[in-house]
Amino acid sequence: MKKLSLASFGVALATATSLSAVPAAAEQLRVGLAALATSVDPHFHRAGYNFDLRENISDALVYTNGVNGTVEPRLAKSWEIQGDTKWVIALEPKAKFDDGDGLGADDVIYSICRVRNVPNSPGLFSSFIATIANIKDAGDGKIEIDTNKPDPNLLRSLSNIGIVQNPTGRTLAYDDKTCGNDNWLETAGFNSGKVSPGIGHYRVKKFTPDVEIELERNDQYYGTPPAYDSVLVKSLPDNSARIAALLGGSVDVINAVPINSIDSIQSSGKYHLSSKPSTLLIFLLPDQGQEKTPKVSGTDGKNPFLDPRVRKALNLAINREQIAETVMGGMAQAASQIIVDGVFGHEPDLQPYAYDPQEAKRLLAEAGYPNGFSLTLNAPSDRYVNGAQVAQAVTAMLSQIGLNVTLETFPFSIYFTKASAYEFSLYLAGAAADTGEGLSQMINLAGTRNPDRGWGGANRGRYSSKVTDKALEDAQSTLDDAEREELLRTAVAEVYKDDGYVPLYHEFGVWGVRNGIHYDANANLTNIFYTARPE
Amino acid sequence: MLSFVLQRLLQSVVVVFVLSIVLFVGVWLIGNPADILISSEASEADRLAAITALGLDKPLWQQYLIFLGNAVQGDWGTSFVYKEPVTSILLQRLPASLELGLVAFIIAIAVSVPAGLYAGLKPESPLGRGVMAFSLIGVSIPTFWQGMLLIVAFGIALPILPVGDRGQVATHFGITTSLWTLDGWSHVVMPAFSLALLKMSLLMRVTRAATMEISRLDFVKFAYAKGVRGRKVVVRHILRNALVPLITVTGIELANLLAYGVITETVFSWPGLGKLLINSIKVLDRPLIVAQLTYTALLFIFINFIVDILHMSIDPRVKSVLRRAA
Repeated sequence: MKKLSLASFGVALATATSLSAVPAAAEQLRVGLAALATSVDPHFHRAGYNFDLRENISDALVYTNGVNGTVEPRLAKSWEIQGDTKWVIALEPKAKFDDGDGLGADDVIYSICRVRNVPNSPGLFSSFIATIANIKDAGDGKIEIDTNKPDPNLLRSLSNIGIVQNPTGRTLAYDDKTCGNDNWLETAGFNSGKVSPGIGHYRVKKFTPDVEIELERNDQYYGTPPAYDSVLVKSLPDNSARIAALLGGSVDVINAVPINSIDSIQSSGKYHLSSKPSTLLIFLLPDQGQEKTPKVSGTDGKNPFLDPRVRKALNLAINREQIAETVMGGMAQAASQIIVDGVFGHEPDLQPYAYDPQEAKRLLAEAGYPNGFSLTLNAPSDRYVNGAQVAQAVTAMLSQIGLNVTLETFPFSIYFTKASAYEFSLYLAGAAADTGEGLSQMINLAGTRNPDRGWGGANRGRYSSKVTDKALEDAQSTLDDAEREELLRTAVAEVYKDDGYVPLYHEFGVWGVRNGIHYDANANLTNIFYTARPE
Repeated sequence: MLSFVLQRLLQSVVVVFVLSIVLFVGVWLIGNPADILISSEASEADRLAAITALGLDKPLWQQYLIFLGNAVQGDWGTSFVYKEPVTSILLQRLPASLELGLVAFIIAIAVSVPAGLYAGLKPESPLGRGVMAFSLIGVSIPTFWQGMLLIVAFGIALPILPVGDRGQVATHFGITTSLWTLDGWSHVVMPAFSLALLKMSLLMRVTRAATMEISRLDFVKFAYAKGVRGRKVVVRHILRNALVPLITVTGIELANLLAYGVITETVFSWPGLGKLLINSIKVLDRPLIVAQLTYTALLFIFINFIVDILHMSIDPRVKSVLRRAA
């Protein structure tokens, strides 16, 4: 007992010191975002802009820190793995919902069950909980999660699932369908403020879709309190409007700073940039899935990209440094592989392909195309930072090795429909690591495309390799971190060797911040308001 | 009169009906909303679940009939993206657009009619030429460009006006609007001016042309010859007759201001319908697109209807025809 009181004294002291570290002047932080969350409901729609809000208002069991890559405790105070498939997780005893009710195992079970049962969701979070076979209350403030196979990334996956308060009054019995419940919390209730999204650093004061979100500090929060009393998040999708809002002083922070505004922010003396390489890889992907490819001509009907020499020629034809420095204004780093450095699974031995158009030409000739061939490069016009300009630069570079390239762009709203229907021969796209580690990104991009299995979702050029698949498959069930990383590196190196992808660069996440404010750049491009502070 | 109203009503029903079909097919041709909404990392089962949840699994004609059935009962559907009834989203955004549109309209009229009248009466005077020069600049600068210039000038270089967004709102007489507050006005004045500039220039030219044309007509000459005072000739005879073409143009422009402030709302991040329309087209949020454009169509029909009635009461020629018919 004495020990306990000593411990709580220590916690109280820690809380007190961290409280006193917050300057009294800190009041409202105003943030302008290119895309605003579409709902307060933490399980409503799996999309980047919803991850943002969720992380600030509805804690998950753990947090995948996009600044340093670690998994931090949140509602799970600690955890251990027993055997290969059993996880015992101790819940945070100090975590309390808005009505003062403490967090219980039933809340966790309810929330994870709800993930599959959000009424009318346009995109569920279910793949994050796919490996869970059972969850039960282990008593003593603990829960036990059984997985149907060893899952090293269970916690990272669960870091995307906000925990809401269980309204049913009973503890649901977990299954992978409805958990015996047929009355789930409605999304509208979360948006109107009737239902709380859970326990977070901030609470939602007012949610106006597509306009703004007002947050206020949760004074009952169990962890370190955020520095700002309130946060106003505004929707500013238009680039120039977002910049104007920052320079005009109506917001303190903006995300997705357009490249052409970087100089004006840096030279102003009143603002600074906060940036970090993100996991978002921008790549070209040649069609490797069909014998005849739709947008190539002058090859006697053959698909030239089935020849690895042609794919290697593409890789050699791109001057990545120049794209990163000139077109992207330095806000990108040349990529050698899918996984960015600093993220689990990155293979440090691989270097970005050196620019070598002569060798590229030679390879093309060797492959039987001494005079090149005609092809159309497809790119989305409005999806990635400077994406259209990058596509133009790539077009010019490919022309240098003797290919007759036409650039064709489409708005994002129709681009991926076409890409998924395999209407492109060579296309530009981007994909990030949702979970903050490399395995999911590799499966999504380099795994053989198989919708039923959830593999290769973004692999619309259908790169496929048995070696890569095998390594990724093994990695999926390898709990030992070192072994798993080795498997991932094998897969990464195999993709490099196959020239399956033409990785261009990893985009930087760039925030424009008013001087006097510290705002963390985040590799997952998530906006974390609770680590922002005056300085 | 009654038959005229009925005819108009019938016309509007047909227009809205045809429009909804065009929009349905249009969005369907553009692409599949599911491809945009669903994460590329989602499994096929999740994808199918979402498609069913959005009602996109049914054939298009069935989706349309379901929409039509609900719309007749006043339910315009639920937004794909926000999962809120589209009517409540639209009503949330409507006040902001109406504010901006009306203020812009008042600015445009207040400047253009006197200026156009003056320029029409004294086309050779320096001021008259000045008005024309201004209107030429006004119609030729693209809206997004002059909007950005205004922001740079008055929001950043000379920071006297707030940039973007609507000001504080207040409720008086049961109406909630930012026009009740000083903060609200400081926010609305720049976008409203930006939005008004093009219309202003256009209306100036229309007023000037009409004034010049009417000044040359016989009844004006006769009035002067008879010795009617200049001011009376201008107000009673010239302005009144010049109003006829002006009102037709003004009606359409007003509807445009209220419904299609898209560019201005985007540049000034004004939380109105225009910004909403752009954002919903980007993500193919069909229920929102259909509801908004239907609202726009109704607005145009309604304003044209008012314009026709105004014509009857202003144009002395139409009036006399009506009287004779009666």
